[in-house]
Amino acid sequence: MITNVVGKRIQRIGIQQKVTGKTKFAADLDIPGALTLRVYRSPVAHGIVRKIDTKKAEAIEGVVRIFTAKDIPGKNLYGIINRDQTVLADSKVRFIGDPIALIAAENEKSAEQALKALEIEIEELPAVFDPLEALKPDAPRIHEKGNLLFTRKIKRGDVEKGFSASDIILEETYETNMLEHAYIEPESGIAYREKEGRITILVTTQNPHADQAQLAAILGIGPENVRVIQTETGGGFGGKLDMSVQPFLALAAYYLDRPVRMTYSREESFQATAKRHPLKIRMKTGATREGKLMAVNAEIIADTGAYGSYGIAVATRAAVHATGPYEVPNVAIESKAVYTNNNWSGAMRGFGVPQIAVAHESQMDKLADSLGLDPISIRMANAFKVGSVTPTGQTLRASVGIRETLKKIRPYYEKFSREIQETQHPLPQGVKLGVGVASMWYGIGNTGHPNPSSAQVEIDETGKITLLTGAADIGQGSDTVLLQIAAEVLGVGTEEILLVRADTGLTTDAGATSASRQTYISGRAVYEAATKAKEALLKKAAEIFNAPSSLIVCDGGYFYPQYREYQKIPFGEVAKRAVQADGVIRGEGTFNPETSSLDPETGQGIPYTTYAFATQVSLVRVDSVTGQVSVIRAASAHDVGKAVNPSNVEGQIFSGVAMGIGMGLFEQFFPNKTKSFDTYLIPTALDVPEVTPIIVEDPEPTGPFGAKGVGEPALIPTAPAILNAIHQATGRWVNRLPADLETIRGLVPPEEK
Amino acid sequence: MEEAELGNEIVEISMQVNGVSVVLRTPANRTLLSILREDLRLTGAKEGCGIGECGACTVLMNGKAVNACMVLAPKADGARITTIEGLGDEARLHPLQEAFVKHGAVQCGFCTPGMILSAKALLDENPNPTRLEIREGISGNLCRCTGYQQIVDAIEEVAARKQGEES
Amino acid sequence: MSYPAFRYTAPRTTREVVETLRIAKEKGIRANVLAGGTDLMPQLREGTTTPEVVVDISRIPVLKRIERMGNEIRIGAMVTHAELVTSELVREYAGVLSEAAKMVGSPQIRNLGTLGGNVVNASPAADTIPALVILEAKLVLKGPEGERILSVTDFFTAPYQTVIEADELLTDIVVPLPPPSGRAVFLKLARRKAVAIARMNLACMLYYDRQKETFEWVRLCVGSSTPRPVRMTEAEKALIGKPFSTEVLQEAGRAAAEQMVQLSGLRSSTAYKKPVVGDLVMRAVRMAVEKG
Repeated sequence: MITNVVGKRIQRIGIQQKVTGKTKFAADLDIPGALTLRVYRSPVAHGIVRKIDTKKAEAIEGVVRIFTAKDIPGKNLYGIINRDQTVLADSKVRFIGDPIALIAAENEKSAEQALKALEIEIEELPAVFDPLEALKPDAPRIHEKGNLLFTRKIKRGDVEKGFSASDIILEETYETNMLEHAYIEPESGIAYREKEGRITILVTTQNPHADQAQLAAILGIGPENVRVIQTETGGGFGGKLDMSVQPFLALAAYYLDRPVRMTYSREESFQATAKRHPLKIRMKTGATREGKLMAVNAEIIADTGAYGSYGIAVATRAAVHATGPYEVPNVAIESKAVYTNNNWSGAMRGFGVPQIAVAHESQMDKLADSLGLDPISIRMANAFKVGSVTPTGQTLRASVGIRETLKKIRPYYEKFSREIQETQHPLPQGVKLGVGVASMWYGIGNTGHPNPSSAQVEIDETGKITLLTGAADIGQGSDTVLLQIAAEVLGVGTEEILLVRADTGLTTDAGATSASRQTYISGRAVYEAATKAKEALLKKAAEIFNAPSSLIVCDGGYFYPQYREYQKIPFGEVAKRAVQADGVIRGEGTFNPETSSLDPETGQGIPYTTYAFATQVSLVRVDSVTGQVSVIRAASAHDVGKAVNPSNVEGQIFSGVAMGIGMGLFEQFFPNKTKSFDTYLIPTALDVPEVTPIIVEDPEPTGPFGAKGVGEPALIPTAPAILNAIHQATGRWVNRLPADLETIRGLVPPEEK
Repeated sequence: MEEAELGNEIVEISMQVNGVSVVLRTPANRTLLSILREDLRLTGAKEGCGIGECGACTVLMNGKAVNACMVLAPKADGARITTIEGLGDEARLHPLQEAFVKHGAVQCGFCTPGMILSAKALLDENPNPTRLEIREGISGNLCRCTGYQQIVDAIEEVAARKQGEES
Repeated sequence: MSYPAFRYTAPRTTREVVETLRIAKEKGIRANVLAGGTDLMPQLREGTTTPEVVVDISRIPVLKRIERMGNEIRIGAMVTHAELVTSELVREYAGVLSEAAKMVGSPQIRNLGTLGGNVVNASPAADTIPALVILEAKLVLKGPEGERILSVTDFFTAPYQTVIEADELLTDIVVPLPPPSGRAVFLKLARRKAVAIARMNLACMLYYDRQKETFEWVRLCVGSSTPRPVRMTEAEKALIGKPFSTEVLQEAGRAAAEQMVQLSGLRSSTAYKKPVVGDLVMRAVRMAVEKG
């Protein structure tokens, strides 16, 4: 398909404001007279709040009001999947940082004094910090229903038979690290009550419509009485899917006749928001002598911490993706999400898939190593193709680009391997080089749940085009991509379309910016909306030209009958006549990819319509003396269906490699110890190598112009590729993240250094 | 006499901010960042951590990149400060801003103002940096979105262009 | 986040600073000297330091000088890490200090943070301190009674603890010019390549006589490994008078590791640090010898 706008490196919308510092994030908004909000948080990991005395705090000059659980007018229970989290503790606190009281004050100083003056008594309960301990019958009970939040099972074929038919069986355990999203913009928002009574919240979020619904329930009012406007959002990576400052802002604005504002400090952002689930994985893999996978059996335990958040989705995704992008006839997976008194874990770029990929990709290399196969060949021998059946029994119908990504990576694998052999200078003692490969698959959208999106394209009598979408651009670039899709359909440039986005007062629900779904799902909704608007114009143009609308061309901002371009009429002219005749043109688009719920016992079903695929290769340098590992080069090939904006896709690939290096080598969040960026280290520009991005386009028939998604896939293969490269360098496997100084130092015995 | 030597809680600060003289009286216990953001409404410098680790608050003080959160406000008395607002506007972008746009070196944009100012400080000191030197020059500016590569591309292009103009 | 209120003063002379500190001390008022601020500012935010008076020493020109005086380089306490990196004098005569300063924090931190601040803050992980130790630097402390000069190794007592009095100001760091034959190496080991606290750092300077095939002299200091910075004398002894050989290097490494454990005791980090300190000493010595 020839496209004019889609597939082009269109400048990101709003980038001029971003480079000049004009872009206003929530904390930059000027709102005169706003009160400052601060939260008193539990200093203990598990306890019962016995007493809250606010008198002394209220007496402090500048303190306007102090709220506790009893002030919540609606339901003091929320959560994006299962509702188990209190806005302000009504009796129990479940982690260090659980909110107990909310202070509204004239200024920061008064609020801080009030925090110190609050008299709160908590009866401490025994706490549990390890999910295996938490599953024991005598463990402290964190939630009434018990500490097991959820179990996902996937059963296909007969694993015992599969193992009997295997020539080689490998059983290993893996552990992944608790991670912080570490977007650079801390949570922030403002709120006020409009004259008509509606509560309006401007906030950094990935999920404006879900925020609206949850806030309405908390306030006990209809969703029409809550308006959530997404402010420019400084990164999310899943961490801004759950609510942060929203309930506090809404509650204060509900009661007070003053605007309110709240910005988390970095320390509060670290303490109070979701983390990446650490996973404990036992994985048993059977294969034939030729390297053909016969069976995979896995047990997965995810520490969801104090609250569910996206724990159910993470446990499910880890299970669904546990085999990797390979045909495995016999599969038995059991994946559990378990409560502990740690910081709560939620969504983070990949929902459990980056963690499980560490296991399945290590298993693949271990098999290859045992069988004397090269890492690309063993993957190629098992990789999905059109017609393959996944562990949930889904037959893949189209857009299965995994093999192409392997083909594209092979030359880099060989090049990096040659570079090691040809390294001229003797390396310092103990320094070794290695190359590692890893692949991944990733289902686009929510797992086995409907996840519709909607959008509108409006055209007025002046020809002005407006695209309305509820999709939150959090920096990844959905605004630009959605405009490109609409512009392509309408035959105009992106600059000719006005964008209205992520405002529950003006736009309809596009679903969350998560699960790499906005390009695919909201993109398709936009495609539908623009197509409908175009059809109305084509109809009018057909009348004007007195020709069938199927023969009218809409291109370059003009309409004309086929082969008669000289008769062209400007887009605006046709729009004007159409609107005069029929009123404002409004194209409604919706899309809800086909899924079916997974069977609770066997996990069989259609979790997603389409999947993204990728393969990455890394060249690493391992200093076995100091334990330092650096990634020297990487190449990453991603099947994105269609790159609507190649620059954006490449940006995601670079970003994913960077985040994966942190995950693989040094990032680790220690509950109640990790406070800020001084101890939570994310990669700097020096920690990230030059990356070669490779775009593979195996079009997805249901996607807009064939597009799928890349946001999370970009990250997933990075850490396992590094681990596999460390093995090649040292002959030793690392089964536990991060592969930090101590791990690597301990890995290689002194005589081999 | 003795009391006077222990100083005052309120101080007067005069500085040049983006070429404009600014005089203000303020409690001494504030940061340059809070003066810029709250008093002068120059919100291009961001607070990402408040402890000098992330670089989102980077501004130029007497031509050198500094974390504005690490500068006690009275320390800026007499200083020349350049924030992102002083570099260029949409009508006339600074070459670095232009290159960031061209290379798609921006995603969420929260780190961008600080990143551009670090890049400017680097090129002012070393007009012809290698890619590694560019990475060193921006190593105090954390970015979680871009993976840095397009940022390095953008800075490299400006350096190359400057080099071209000079030779 | 607001910081506690305090009074602020920015004297123009070191004498005034000392006088202010003396008055504060006399009255029992908590006073903190503000140098570059890169340590003090996070402490103010965290509330771990709560001064009533902040004495800013950035307006005192004499504290910013780098001068050669005879056989010494005198570095003012307010010289920044960035200035140590670029100073011709420091690079020529105390290159290892320049190398160490280059490893501190980020460009922004190096533009603010000062050598004096790094020394007085006394973090066991400070990058410049091992370099000063092997340069056998002296510190000039100015107090109400006048100046006292002490060796950098006598300055520190424990992590973040020094012998400086509340009414004293560190004015200068004096580096005697090392013998031109010396070859120096600075190594930093951290979890990340920039803006990272040293897990371990090491400064080494030595002269290896190729004719005699012996180490003539060796100075070695490993940071972030002992409660206060010391010379790794046992490792130095293991090298001096010996030829450059794997066995000799290994002996030096072993000696350094043992000295570290002896001084620090067994800690949770010992399992990692003990073997690493030995290997790192070997690596640094080899690199220094290879410098010719």
